[in-house]
Amino acid sequence: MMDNVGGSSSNIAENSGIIREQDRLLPIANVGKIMKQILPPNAKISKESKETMQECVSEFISFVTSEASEKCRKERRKTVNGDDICWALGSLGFDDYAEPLRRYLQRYREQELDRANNPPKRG
Amino acid sequence: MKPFLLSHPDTMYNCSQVYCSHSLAHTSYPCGDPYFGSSIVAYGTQAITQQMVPQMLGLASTRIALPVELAEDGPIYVNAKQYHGILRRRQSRAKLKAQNKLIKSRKPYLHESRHRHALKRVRGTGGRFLSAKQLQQFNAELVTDAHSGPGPVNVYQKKDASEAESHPSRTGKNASITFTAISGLTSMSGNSVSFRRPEHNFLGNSPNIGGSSQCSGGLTFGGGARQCTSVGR
Repeated sequence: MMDNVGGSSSNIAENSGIIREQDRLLPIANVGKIMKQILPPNAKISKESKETMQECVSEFISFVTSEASEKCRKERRKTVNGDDICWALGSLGFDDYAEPLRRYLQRYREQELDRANNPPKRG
Repeated sequence: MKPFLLSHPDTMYNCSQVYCSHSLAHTSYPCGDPYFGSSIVAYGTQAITQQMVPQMLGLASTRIALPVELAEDGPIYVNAKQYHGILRRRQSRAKLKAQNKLIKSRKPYLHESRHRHALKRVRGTGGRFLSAKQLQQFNAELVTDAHSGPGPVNVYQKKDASEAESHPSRTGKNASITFTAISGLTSMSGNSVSFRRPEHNFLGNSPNIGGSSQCSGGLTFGGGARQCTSVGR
């Protein structure tokens, strides 16, 4: 995807190696939509709340992925897969999340298998 | 690819090189790894670390105190399983901060072209953008504006309007409105028609308080003054 990064920001240079906001954080609109799912329909979420949650969920992703990546490093593997993420959640004490994620991963793989066996026909 | 999310082997080597002693007795935990005993102090991580403390109520009873120099109001106790993970993440953030790779402040928008496009769009009452249908209706009302006082422009609620902002915006003050563009993950809907009409300043400032604003085409904005809230870590 060709990104047209805003040129008016003088503190952001193209080749300075700075990690861009869209590479470090989840999109703020998607975060807002997920937050809105649990709230009543007429609820409003401030911009500050979304930005704070954006930072929290992005850090959580890095936290869990770092744990999974460390396991892969010890086992001399290069690819972090779904099982490593589930293991990392359990290893970090998020057992309540690890079990539903394992079930999700199992169903996801079943769907992928069905899709591979029955490719959609092109009209 | 996002190399930021994966821990580099350099981080592991930095662990053994940098020695930062702290007067903590390591609990002999099976998940623990004495290889990551040292740590680099990363500033601003209290907010995220302290949020983990309430989660630990009712969970594992073992607690390990994090390095004291980071917490001004006393030691922060975390889940023992997460101790090394937290220290590892602190090193990663400190490394990025040392390389000056973290963004200082948030930009109001990501894409210049989308920002300029949003500035050109016509707004209705309450600050919402007018869709193609509403724009035709708006122009029709302009042509037949022979009555004393214009009729109210109906801004319909969009079906996929999911962004609720708590700050109402004033029309005619686009220069002071902060836009935040969404990355390519957001689906662009209704972008085939581009409105290239000049701004209608005569819309004025309608007393519409409490109305939330929504920009279609993957743009969201907060009303009022320019806000760049940066969460320190």
